[in-house]
Amino acid sequence: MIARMGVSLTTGRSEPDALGRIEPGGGSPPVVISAAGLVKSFGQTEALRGIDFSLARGEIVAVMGPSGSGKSTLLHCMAGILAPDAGTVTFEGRQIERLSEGERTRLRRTAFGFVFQFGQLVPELSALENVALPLLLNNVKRSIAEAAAAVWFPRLGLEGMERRRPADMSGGQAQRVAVARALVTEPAVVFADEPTGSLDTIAGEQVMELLTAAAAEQNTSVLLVTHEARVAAYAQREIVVRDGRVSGAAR
Amino acid sequence: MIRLGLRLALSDGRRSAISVALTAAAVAIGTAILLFAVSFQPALAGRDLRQAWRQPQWPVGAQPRLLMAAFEDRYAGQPFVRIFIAPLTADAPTPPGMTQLPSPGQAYVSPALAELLTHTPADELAPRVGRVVGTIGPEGLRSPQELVAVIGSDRSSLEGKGAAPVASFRVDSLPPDLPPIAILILVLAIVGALVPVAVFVATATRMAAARREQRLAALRLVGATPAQVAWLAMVEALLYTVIGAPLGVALFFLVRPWVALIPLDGATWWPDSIQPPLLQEVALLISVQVVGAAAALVGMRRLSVSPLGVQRRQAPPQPSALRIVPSLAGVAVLLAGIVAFRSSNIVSPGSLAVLGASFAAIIAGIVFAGPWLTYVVGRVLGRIARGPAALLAARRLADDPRGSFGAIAGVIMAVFVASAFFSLMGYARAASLSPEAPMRPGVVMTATVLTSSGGHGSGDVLTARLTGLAGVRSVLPVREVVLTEGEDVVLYAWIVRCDQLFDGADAGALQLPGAQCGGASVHTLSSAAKVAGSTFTVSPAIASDTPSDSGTRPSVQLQIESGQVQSLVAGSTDRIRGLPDLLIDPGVLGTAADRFPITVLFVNTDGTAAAAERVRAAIQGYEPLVPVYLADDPMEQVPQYAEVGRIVGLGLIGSLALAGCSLAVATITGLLERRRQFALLRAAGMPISRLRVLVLLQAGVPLIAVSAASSLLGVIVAQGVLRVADVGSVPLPDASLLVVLGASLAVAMGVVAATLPAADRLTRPQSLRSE
Repeated sequence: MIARMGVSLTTGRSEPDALGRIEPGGGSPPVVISAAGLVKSFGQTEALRGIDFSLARGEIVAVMGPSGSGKSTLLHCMAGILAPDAGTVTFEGRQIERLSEGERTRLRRTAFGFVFQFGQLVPELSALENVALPLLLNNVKRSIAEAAAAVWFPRLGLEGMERRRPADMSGGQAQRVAVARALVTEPAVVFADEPTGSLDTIAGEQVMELLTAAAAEQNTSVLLVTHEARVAAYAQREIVVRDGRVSGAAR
Repeated sequence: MIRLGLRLALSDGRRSAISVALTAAAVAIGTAILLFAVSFQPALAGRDLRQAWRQPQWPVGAQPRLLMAAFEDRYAGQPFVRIFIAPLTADAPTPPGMTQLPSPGQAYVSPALAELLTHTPADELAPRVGRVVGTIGPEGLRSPQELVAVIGSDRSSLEGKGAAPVASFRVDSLPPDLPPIAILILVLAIVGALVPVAVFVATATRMAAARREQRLAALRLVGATPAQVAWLAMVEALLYTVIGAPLGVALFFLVRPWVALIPLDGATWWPDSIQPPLLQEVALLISVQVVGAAAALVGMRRLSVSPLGVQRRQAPPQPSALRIVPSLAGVAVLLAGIVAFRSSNIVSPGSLAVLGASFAAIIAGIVFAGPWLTYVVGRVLGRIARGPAALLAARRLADDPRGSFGAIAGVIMAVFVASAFFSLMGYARAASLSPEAPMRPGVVMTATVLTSSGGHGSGDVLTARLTGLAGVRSVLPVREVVLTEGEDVVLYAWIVRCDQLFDGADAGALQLPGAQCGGASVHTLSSAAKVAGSTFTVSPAIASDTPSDSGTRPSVQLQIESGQVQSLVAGSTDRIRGLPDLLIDPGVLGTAADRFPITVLFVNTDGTAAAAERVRAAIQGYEPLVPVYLADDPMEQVPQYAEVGRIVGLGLIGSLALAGCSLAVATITGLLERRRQFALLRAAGMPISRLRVLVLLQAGVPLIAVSAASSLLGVIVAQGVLRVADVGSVPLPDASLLVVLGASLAVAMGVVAATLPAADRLTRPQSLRSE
């Protein structure tokens, strides 16, 4: 696991794992990222109208709601892709919306992972290179990055697919590669926006099983945006967003 | 359908407007360059026709009606033509542009000369012209800036002085006075400018395809047939050419006044003389439309627009190394053509057509070979890439070598043409500099005909007059003589003191490195002159028509002892241009030296331009028909090559501008195609700086690599042409080629850099929301 050590050294996490990570069976896990009073409008449309929300270390939370309810906007604000009009997002003691664009980009690169519905894999790169890409962006040496990426292929049931291009893979295989790419930097939080949205039921379940298992293994928190109850069932907790507000929570 | 096509093309707001504008601008630049190319030949021919009358036409079977003698020298570095005319009959013809012949001492002058005369001190120019009585109209002038004086004379002043009898003025033109290699260079330059333009016009219309494809797919979804979709694509392509071609005509007329200021063969142009023949202009404008529409249809054929979206029809196979064959074949044909035409006339229309066509084939071959090179570059970069930007750029290059090369093809073609021309120009410049002993700055020389009108005393009179002139430091008279042994003229010599000709920091008239006068009284200038121990008859080099005082041609016997002789430049074997075989010290001949007429004068001035022109005016005011040279008058051949070089350079700037438009459009198009992908990468934390590096690498790496290859091919082609043409020693291109290449690549990278703000805007992760 030389490769993974190399990775940990370069992810730039502000705190060593030992401080934030809880032992299994311990008390209430610490909050890793939280939002307070988030408001965000696009022109006349109010996407978020004051949302409070927090995610504990290692926790998997599903955000549900009808389309246009603001759940993707919530994800984008939490991840620092969008700046909220009002309210704060706190990650490991830092207020994300106060960071500069460059600092937020760095944060997304080092502390967060992303799985989108489709199109995130670079078509010209092989599966292996796609997984290694976030490490390369963190200035990890190419040979080390590719070795670290290669570790993921047997875990995801993708052995022998390392040299394939995304176009030569099924949708489910491509999403599993995307999961590996989101997790390869051992991020604190993975943001997954409809990760199974373009997959059939079986492929979708495979992707969710791998995502949740791998996240649990790394003690990574997952914010999962979905409109499918079947997908949301992989989460430990669900919240429902309606008209820009949290309208309910389950479990 | 047409209105729908137009609406679709412009529906995307500002971005599509910019794209349409850039593409139309490129079509306009291309059209304007083509219009200039079409106008070039008629303009040159018209100019030659306007000055045809100055070329004497020996009257065949007709009574000569006037005598004409034309002299070209310079005023302040500009060519200055003086034409002396003496009527022989009452019905002597009048040259074009003039209403009557000037009387002796009177002159008609070109407008530029008239203007110049009013601004020039009276003793610097006016004596060379005489009294101005009128101006010459454009019909008699080759260019608006030309300095011409038609000076009235009489029969006795011109007869026997090289004047030609004329029955009527020539109305057909002689070919332009350009050396064959310069004409070859010009023809290749025009081809070099046109091929990129043609290729560009053919591809420009396809470049906005990425943007329009999704809309076309949507149309298929609502039931449009493939034929209708193709028709829509053609309408959009025609939008660019319909806007671009007339803009090109406007651009042509807009820049024509400036283009008219570019001299060729020593003369600028009247703007309205640069005019494409109407038929060719119309044909050109129509073919731009046809080429654009056809290119759009071909482009659509490569895509299959299904109702569900646009796909490139199967990934094309990786380009193979065989792609370099056509350009190499073009090189072979070009060189073979030169071998074949070398013995005959290399600038005949037939040979120029073959050579031009094979040059065009080489350029087209480079465009064909480019994707393979790009693919190879991508593979190599992919292997050695360390950072993510380099890796992404490399994979993209290897994955889409055709598209990646398409963006830079124009720049690559310009680089090839520039490399070929700089090599050819380097040769031309070197070839025009044969060895000679240049005059020291500030020295004025007049030569050879001083005896002709004034007889023996003319040189002495001038020597006396010039010595007193303001700004003149010294006057060095030279007497040209020939040395004969028996009946044979064996050697050409100057009677002058060697140390006055060459010695001293500023006293000598000529500069000749290594010249050593020493104590000898006879100096040889070439190894062929073996004179020691011989006895010669010395007589004037130029026979005077008017007998000298004694009534006979003066001559003396001269015996040269070996102790008197020394070689002027140790070890030199070739005679130096403009210098004699021998220098003889006047002291050797004693008083007999003065019996030979002064035929050459070197006047050492204070170095000011005014003093030099004053000397020239004084000489020609006294002896109108002698040429006078200044130390800084340019040599004959060099300006022509400089001018050809300038025209080639302008053509290259034009095609580079065009290539820049195409590169900008292609870069933006490439970003649009991958917009979502980049936005997602940025959402996942890819810094904008990496994206910038990616964009720069993706254009820059193939640009530099393929430029280097095409530049090398250009140099090889030029060297091959020169070596096969067997023109003697061929210099390798110098550092100026690197400067031009560097500048071209810098411009291209500047264009790519200019798209970076757009790259930032287009791929903002915030834009994902709108997907």
